[in-house]
Amino acid sequence: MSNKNSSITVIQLTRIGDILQTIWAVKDIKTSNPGLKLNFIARDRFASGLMFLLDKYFDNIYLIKEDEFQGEDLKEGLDNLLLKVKSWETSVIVNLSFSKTSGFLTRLIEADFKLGLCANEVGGMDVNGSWSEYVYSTVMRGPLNAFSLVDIFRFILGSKEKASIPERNLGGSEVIVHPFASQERKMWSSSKWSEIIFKILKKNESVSVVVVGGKSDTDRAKQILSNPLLEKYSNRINIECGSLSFEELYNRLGKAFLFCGHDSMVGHLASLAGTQTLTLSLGSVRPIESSPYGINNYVLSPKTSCFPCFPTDACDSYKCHNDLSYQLVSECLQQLIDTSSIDFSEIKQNISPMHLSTADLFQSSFSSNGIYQLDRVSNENQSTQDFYKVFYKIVWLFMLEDIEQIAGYPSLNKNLEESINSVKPNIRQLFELAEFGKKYSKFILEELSKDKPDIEYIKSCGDKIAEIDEMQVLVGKACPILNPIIDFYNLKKSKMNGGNLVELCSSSYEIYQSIASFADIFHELIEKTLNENKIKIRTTSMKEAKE
Amino acid sequence: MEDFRKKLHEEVDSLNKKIENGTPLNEEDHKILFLNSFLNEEASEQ
Repeated sequence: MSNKNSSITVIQLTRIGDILQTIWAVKDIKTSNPGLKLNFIARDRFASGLMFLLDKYFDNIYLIKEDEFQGEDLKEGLDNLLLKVKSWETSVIVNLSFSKTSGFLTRLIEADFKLGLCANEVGGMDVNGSWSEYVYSTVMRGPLNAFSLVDIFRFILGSKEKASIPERNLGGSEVIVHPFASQERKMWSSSKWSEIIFKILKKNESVSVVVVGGKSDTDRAKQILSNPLLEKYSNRINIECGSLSFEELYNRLGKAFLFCGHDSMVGHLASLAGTQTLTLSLGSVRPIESSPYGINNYVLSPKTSCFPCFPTDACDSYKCHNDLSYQLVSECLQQLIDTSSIDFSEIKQNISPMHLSTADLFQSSFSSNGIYQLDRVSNENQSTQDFYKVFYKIVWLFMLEDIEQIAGYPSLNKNLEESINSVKPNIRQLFELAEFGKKYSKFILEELSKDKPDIEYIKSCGDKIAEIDEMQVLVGKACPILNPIIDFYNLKKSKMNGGNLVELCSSSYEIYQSIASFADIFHELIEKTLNENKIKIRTTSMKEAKE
Repeated sequence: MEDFRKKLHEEVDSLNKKIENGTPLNEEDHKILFLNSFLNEEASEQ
């Protein structure tokens, strides 16, 4: 992003939470690019309430109204939109929404470069840019994404600027609670929230609670507060459902000292306002992707084996809701009210191991490279998924950003060690297949450089490459942990550039080279972790023997 | 169904045939596809 006069247009047609995460991603971009012009296209129904923030960071904004394209001449409204956007003289258009609608719009806007989803000439969708390919192949496909969406948006935008964190609010006497979410599977029952609010008010006489939400949340809010437990405290509880504009809510959050709620846009608004947050992640929420950005925010999530699920997975029991106990949440909240931090050893003293064993507690921070991370507050071993996420994070940052992420070797328990040992042969297989892919791509290139290339031979090499690709997919089926690598490079293969066979084979060679490098680094990380673990076990045994 | 919606659906049907045949789409075609997709999203969120 060195061109000082360039103009970037960001398309974000999805919901309020995504718009707020986009704001986090762009808000410091101009610090090192003062000449950069930033434009924004969103849907009026999601973005109009956030104009007080959007105006701060964007030079031009176009909000598409829901009735903009109606009546006899449908295209007139669209032509007006395109004309307006054309006047922004966009050099780079960045589509952050990953919906078909946004892909068609990206196609229609003139720009020198287009990143993200964009419709192609024959009605399909292309994914442009490595980080957009990452979203398509990893974030949208499975649970192994290791990055906050804010950081992914920053990478897509090419922002090298570390995010500046708003000053933390320490004063005030209000705790703002948002006990709602867009889906039932993401939110606790009313009775659990009644217990939480009861505990806050009972233990903290100078604290008041504000329940915030939309108009549609009013009945649920009333249900929470109608619990007889809360009768005594009604003078210290306010309901603000549908009564505050986003700007008023932002200002109210800015005056509160703590926010607690499920994964929703209110958490993002709170973190932008500088308020500490405790998020209860349930259902299909992936904490690393959508927890409030910033430092010293906390996240509680269940250890339920099916958490996080997919939004489309059928579920009647909501076991993950039960695995997060109100006792644990209350204890965390109390510590935050008292000290603005959570001490796990204190939690261990006050909470039954039964409640602790079913939930995880994380604290947000930034790595030395300015990348958001959720650090486990408890000292327990990581889950298998979290373990692989650490490795993926290291390798993706190295492969796509040339960033060397420093991380300690994770501790292993028996289950993890077994899991890693079972993955090793599959990684080696992936590496070997990639090496074969390189070999056959090279054979074709060598044959093509001859005066009279043997077409039959080239065809047989092409067949071998197709076989290799099929076998890579089979490796992914046998070992789903490796799917992010396989899916990412399959996407790259599907859109290989090249005007002729030589260029295509060169691209193919480079892709296999990347797969081989990825598998090699991944394997090395696993080997080193296993060795480090062996040394640790030996040292501990020796110490014990001495004693 | 409102007339403009009916007309849009007809245009999308004919575009789908074009897409199936691999015929390149022009800017006007992409406008139709955007409008159809946008209006469908809006309708599903009502």
